[in-house]
Amino acid sequence: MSAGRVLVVEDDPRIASLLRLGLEVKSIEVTVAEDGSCGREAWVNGEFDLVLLDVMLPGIDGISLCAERRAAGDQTPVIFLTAREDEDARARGMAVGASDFMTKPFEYADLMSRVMLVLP
Amino acid sequence: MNIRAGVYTRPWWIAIAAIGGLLLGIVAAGVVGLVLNQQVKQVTDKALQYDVALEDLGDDLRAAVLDVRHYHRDIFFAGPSEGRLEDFERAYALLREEIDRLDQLGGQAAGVPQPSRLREIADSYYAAFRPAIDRYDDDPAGFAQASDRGLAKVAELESAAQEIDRLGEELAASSLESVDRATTTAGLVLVAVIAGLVVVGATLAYAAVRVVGELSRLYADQQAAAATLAHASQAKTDFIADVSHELRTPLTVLRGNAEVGLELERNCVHERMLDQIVKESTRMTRMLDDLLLLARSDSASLPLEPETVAVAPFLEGLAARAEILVRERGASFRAALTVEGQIRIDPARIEQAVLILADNAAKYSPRGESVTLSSVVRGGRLWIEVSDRGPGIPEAELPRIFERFYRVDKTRTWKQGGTGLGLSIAKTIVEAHEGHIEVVSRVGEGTRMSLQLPLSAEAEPVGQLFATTMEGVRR
Repeated sequence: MSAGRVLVVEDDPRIASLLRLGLEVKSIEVTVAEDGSCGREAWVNGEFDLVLLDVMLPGIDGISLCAERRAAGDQTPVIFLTAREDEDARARGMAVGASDFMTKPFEYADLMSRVMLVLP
Repeated sequence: MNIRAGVYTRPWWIAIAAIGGLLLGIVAAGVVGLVLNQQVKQVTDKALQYDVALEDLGDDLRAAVLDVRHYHRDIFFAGPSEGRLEDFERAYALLREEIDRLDQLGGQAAGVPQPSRLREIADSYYAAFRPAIDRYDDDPAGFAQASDRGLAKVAELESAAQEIDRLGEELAASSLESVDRATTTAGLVLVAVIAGLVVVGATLAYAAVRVVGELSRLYADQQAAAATLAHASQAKTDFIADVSHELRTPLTVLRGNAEVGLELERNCVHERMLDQIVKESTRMTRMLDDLLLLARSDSASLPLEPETVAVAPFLEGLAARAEILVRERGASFRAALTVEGQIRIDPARIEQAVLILADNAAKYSPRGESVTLSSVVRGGRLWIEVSDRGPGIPEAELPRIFERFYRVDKTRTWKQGGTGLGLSIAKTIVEAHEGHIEVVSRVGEGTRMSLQLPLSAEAEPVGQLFATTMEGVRR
């Protein structure tokens, strides 16, 4: 019984694998995309309850990808993953319709409570 | 940089000294010129006063002698009449006057016939001839004899007058020559002085140019060194920023995996190991943040976001967060906040500094003892104080507690989980606000950490201003 479906778009495999592990422990179904283009493809073709979206991505960046999906009428909740120093990114992320953001490094408990708030 | 000012001003002093020296030299040359001119003038005056006067006198004396001879002959040929006698007497008196004038001129040059001698001849002439005139009719032969002897004496006087005239001319010519010589000498001395001056001036100018050049080079070197230093400092900051950024992801992965491991299975044999990993990686993450902050403040780029805040609500919020922190550590908390007014600070940073102090105080407080957060305004500055009733810090350690990684109790720290950078961070933050942090501590009684920050004077309420003024008067 799945607790939800989450798309993780994150280019750093270590972070991606940690997110997969952390989410799967809570019986959440996880799909990982390694860059913006793969993320877009997965997002368009799949049904997700939440997208965890890195801001700094090769190819298309997270903010642009989110803006593009919102423009296409997609209302899937998005939590941005931003670098701590990049305070500007949070404001830009919220402006393109994100539900929340997480700064890296994040705490597992913090991440899960934010994810659980968004999931149905 | 202080050194820069020193290097920058000195060449100017040297240049000014060189120019001043030259000006002084020119004045000295002028003075020498004036003195020489005076000397030449003196020589010339002397020549005119004596030598030329001597020549004139020689002429006049000769004319007077010839006059006497003329009237002598008149009397001899035509016989003494009252008129001729009068003329003779007058001519003789004039001759005596001329001899007196020669006497008055004084300073006789060698070879000039002496006035006393001339007077003697004139006197003996008159003494012999004048009585003979009276015997002109009675004793013509005696008169004729006296007249001949008299004319011989007159001739003697005339040759003396001629001698004086000749000597006068000679002396005048030679003194004009000596005037020429003095002028030439003065000119040569002046030329020598000016030439010396030019050499000295040129040397000074050369030295000044060399020194200025040298110091400019030094100045440029120092500027370059300062730039290099600034660049190196920035490079260090960038490096630490890069390192902390790069270490963050592995730390996140490390801690995340440990947390997931704990989530998978509680109460397992690995639980304490996983807990330890979580705790240490959390501490390392905090240490990276602290290092980054210190590195930025070292290169003077500690990012502050200052805003003007009302002191009272700011301190209330701060007290609430401090209380949570302190109670988590098992100490009790008291707040004594009586301050109003406004202050321009980066509230998040100041809160960070005060919470570091509160956390420290709670860490070292015996269980149940209270940590007190208080605030006052003193001398136009806001003082925020955190005091505890912990073991206190030995006096010898006090000057070092704000050093990075300095620990009073070397064994205790690892249990407390601190980074060793807390007080250093607090000090850095407070000083970036142009504030000041200080500590008072007694072993066995407790410690009080105070930080003071400048209040925004224009926003201070009247009552507070009054209290501040009173404080100022009491001091």
